[in-house]
Amino acid sequence: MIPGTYLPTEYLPILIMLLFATGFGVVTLWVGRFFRLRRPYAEKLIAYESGNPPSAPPRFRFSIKFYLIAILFVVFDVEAIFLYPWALVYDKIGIFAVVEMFLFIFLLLVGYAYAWRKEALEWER
Amino acid sequence: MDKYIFLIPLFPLIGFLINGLLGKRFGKGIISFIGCMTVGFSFIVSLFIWKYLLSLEPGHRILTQTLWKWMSVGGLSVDVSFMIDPLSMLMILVVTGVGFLIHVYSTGYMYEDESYWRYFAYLNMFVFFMAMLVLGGNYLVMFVGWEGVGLASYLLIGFWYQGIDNAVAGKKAFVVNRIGDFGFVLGLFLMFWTFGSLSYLDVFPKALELFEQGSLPINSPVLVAICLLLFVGATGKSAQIPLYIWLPDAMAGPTPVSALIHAATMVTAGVYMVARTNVLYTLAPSALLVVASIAAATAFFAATMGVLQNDIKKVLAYSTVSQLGYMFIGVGVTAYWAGIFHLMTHAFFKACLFLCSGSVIHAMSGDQDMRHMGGLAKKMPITYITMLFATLAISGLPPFAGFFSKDEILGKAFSFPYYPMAGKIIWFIGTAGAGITAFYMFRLIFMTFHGEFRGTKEQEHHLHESPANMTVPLVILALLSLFGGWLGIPELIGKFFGHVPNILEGFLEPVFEHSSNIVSQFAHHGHVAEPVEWTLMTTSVVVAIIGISLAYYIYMVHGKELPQKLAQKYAFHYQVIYNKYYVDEIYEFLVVLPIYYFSVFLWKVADAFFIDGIGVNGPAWVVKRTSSIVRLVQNGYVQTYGAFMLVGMVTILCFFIYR
Amino acid sequence: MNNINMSFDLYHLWQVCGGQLILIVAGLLLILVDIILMEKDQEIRGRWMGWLTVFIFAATIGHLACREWDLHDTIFMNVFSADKYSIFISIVMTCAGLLAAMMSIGYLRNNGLVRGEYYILLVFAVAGAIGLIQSVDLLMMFITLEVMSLAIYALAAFLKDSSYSQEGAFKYFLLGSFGSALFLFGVAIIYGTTGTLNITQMAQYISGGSYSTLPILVAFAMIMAGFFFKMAMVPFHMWTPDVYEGAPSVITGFMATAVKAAAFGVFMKVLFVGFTPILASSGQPDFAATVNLSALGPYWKPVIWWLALLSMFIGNLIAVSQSNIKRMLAYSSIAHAGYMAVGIIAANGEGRMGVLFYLFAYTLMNIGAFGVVYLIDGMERKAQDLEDYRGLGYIYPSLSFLLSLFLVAMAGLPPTAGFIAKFYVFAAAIKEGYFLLAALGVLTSVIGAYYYLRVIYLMYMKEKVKDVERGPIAAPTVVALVIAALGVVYLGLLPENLASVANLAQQSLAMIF
Repeated sequence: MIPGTYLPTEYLPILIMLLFATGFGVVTLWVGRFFRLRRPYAEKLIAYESGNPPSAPPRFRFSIKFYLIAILFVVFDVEAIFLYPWALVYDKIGIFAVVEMFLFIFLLLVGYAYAWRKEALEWER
Repeated sequence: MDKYIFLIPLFPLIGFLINGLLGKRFGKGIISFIGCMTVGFSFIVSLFIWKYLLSLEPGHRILTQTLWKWMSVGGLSVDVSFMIDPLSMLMILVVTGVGFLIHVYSTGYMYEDESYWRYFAYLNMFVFFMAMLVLGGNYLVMFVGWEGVGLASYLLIGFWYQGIDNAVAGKKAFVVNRIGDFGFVLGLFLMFWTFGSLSYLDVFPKALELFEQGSLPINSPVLVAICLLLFVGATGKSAQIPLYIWLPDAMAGPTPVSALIHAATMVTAGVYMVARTNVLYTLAPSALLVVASIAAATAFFAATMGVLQNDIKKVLAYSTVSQLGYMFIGVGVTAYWAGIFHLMTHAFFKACLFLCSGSVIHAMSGDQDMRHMGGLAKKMPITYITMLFATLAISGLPPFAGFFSKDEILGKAFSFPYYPMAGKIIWFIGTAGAGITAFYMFRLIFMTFHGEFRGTKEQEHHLHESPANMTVPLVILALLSLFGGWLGIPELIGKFFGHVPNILEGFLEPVFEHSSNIVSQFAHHGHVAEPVEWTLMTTSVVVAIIGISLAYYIYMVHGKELPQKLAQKYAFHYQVIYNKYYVDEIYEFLVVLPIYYFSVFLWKVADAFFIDGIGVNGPAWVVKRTSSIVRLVQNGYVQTYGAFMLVGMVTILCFFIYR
Repeated sequence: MNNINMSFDLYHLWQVCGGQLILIVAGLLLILVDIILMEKDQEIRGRWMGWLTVFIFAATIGHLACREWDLHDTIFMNVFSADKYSIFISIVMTCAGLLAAMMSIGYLRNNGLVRGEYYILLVFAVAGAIGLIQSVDLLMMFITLEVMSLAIYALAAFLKDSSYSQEGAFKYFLLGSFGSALFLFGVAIIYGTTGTLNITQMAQYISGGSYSTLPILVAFAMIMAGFFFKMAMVPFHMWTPDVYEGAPSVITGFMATAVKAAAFGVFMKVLFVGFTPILASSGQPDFAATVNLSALGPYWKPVIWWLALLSMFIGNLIAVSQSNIKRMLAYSSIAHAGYMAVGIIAANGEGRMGVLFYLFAYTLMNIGAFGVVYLIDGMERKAQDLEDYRGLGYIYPSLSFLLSLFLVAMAGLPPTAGFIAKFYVFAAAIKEGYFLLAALGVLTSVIGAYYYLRVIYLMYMKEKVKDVERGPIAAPTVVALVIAALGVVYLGLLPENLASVANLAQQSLAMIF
């Protein structure tokens, strides 16, 4: 292949998809402008929140504990997801797959023990 | 014998380690003993090696010792190796010999100091690095010593760190030296690139071989570049224009340090380096012309600056700068041995002068201002006589050492083989400088030792001759200032005394053999007729005598109108001053004012503004300014940081694409 | 599918990934030890965890050093490789970890921060770094890079009550993620274009001619940018001062050495295996064509030329106007990255050897310097201003002497390791004709000498203005400092031994496939 003449044609569908997706959004919004009715009045312009005016600023801090729990959840969730493909192929791989999965679960178990002992699972401390 | 070379640097290293690590717990006796004896041992070893060296054929006087292979990179192999040939032999004898005397002197001078151990540790460290510099068998070992002596000097200048000026002076010395070292390192890189080696025994034969093959013509740009870059290093270390400014400030250190480091040994390292590299310099005459011109300028201007200093050590400091200029004239006009000869005699008489001034300062309880001195000759006879000897030597009067060496240099300058015309000019400047030297040195003698005492009553009460451990080194050095020059009696004089040989020239000849061959091959005929030689010699003596007479006339005959005197005893001397007024007016107008304003100009304007301001502080200022401007970008916003990363990556990408 | 497990055997794994295995298993054990000791006194816990970590690192160094030196091997379908090159850098990084762990025992106690997580993170950081340097596969490179980085982010934020530490770590995390994203994007493009993630196969593929096409160049630039971030090269350096200043002193020392060693090591690996023709000299017919890749030299060499120059100048220049010693050392580490990059530009054996030597020497002197800094500090940020160092030479002579030694070595004065290291890289660059760069490099080291020596000047030639009380000195810290100091002097006097080992190591880069 002559240097400089290479075109990454494999990516062409992605490019087309990208253009199409962008184009669809822009075009529909733009076309909609010509058809929709626009008759604003005061009640229509206030924020829509089940009909009530907002009582507090929408941004407020969550306790750090939510994140902790969320992270722990993600870790063990991923573990569970990882079990599915393993279950499909372990008969083909044999004893090695069993050992490896136990190793994997053991690693997470250490983390679990750590989280437990360090009271990461307690809500009230 | 070559097995024992390593002992020379080893002893001071041991001394440094013992005193540096344990000295705090020792008594002063033990510290002095260790400090002096280690250097003394080195001196003794040097003497033995010298004896052995003399027993060899003159052509084979090279001893080498390789301790271990230091590093090898890209075909370059550097060993930790030593080499002793007549040149380094002479240097190491001076370093350890004078060093030993100054160590002994220091036991008296520094006795009261509370950090006595630290002082001796630093001093031993200095001798160690100096020995490495001199004995190194390649440029890299020399560079180790070169940096090391700089560090030692830095520590010793700032030794009395309580004075802020001292510490600033130490820092100035180090920074200026680093600028010089920058040139030196680049010179080494270029040398490595050109010759593929840094060892003396490889580089010089290689250069000669290339020269004979014709692939390295005389004055080839790369060679001139190497020589000039190395000389930049030398201007830093050896205090030449424009990097000389650190040396006068370096006088803030203890006086024996000034004697050892800033007069006798370290500052002459540049001269040694040029003499060591003589083959390359001889092949690059343009570089030699630069060396000689800068040296002549330094010799002259530093002398004029010495004229109006009132601090006794500052006078000697400017005088050192000036004398270093003479040495560089010597090596610059291919009279390498003469430069080294002057280096040796200068080591004797300048060390003696500094130690004497130390003795005076000691007696004056630390006062260094000559305007407060006077009439000390009666109180301190030994100091007076030894200092007089050294002064006669530096003024260049026969039969003192300085006469022979300075005369040799000026004579050789007159017949500079490569550039005869420039040589004549350099000779003229050098001779004029010699007259000024005689003038200011005798001004120092007259102001310090003659006339009446001008200090306080209290100081007068304290005046005393120094103890024996200070005066004995003085006497030895004074004798060396007298007899040291007799090692290099020129043929012209020698034949009157039944053909006294020029011992030193013969001893050093093998080192400079190749250079003299090249010079005789390519340059104009360098020899001058005998009558001319006599004339030159007489001229320099006459000029020196004129300088001395002028000093006598001004400071002895009219000495009483010194400003302090005037202020104190105005009424009593009114008549005298009035009578001399007319003479003074002429003198002022013709001599003092021009020199004064020139001196002030150089000192204040050139020194303080151009060199301190732009030369040294300038880069510092630029560095600091740039630094704080660039720092503005570092504003702490993570967005900015990220933007810079992105810009960096996009720039790389653009370069890749549009290359 | 079936061939996944066919080539696998435990001994083989141990041979190739022994260092990583020891550290990962030990890290897990440390977690268990930490929770077992939870009820115990802080003093006992700190001592146990600290000494265990020291032992783990020592054992890892022992394993790495005694491993069969001539074995060139790969595992997991060429994901990890074991060769002299990666072992050399692994040892450098583990040494950094060892010295840092020894100092941490005292550091944590002085700062009242004794927590087991610290050591655990340190162990995992080194494990990640070793994995990074061993990986031949770009994706595994990314994963291990993140393992190392995540541990370092957490360590940088370890001073919970210090806003500097938090701010620095957060910036580091954000920009680090950005850098990693760039790297990952580059890797994705490589995969999309060449269909492989293995750098040797990639080299084989692109040597067919596609190396000068747009996607490869974009990927190359992105991968470079990702690594330059970790190497702290200008203009990817901006995080360095903030992070180095805020992070715990010992961790700063560790980051400046181990992370730098990892980044430089892996960058050289990618560069000289994947993008330049060193593989062609391996004697493998498959890679004979990679000689074509020397055409890429004109692409990356000017880039590194300029970045090295900028790093040397900007690092040294800004360091001059710093008043905080950790910040000053941070800028100095940028400058040192520039010096090391000079060795990469040379692109010859001497240059690579010089970089490896430099990494080792720099590890010793930099960790040593930060060790002294933390001791003089007492508590973090109590005495970090340069002004606090005034007159310390007479109050704490030994500490001042050690700091002077380390700074002199960093300034590159002979006869210390710093001088030799600079000499190697500059000599290599000059050999390839980069005289101007070497000259400018020497010029910047003149500027550098100014600020290093200013600290010495303050310590020895100034009167103290403030009472500085150093923290209590723990025995392991002393040992670590002495080892570092002796190493700096030893490498300055007898560099040949290490240099010849480093030379063998760099030669083995050609054997990775």
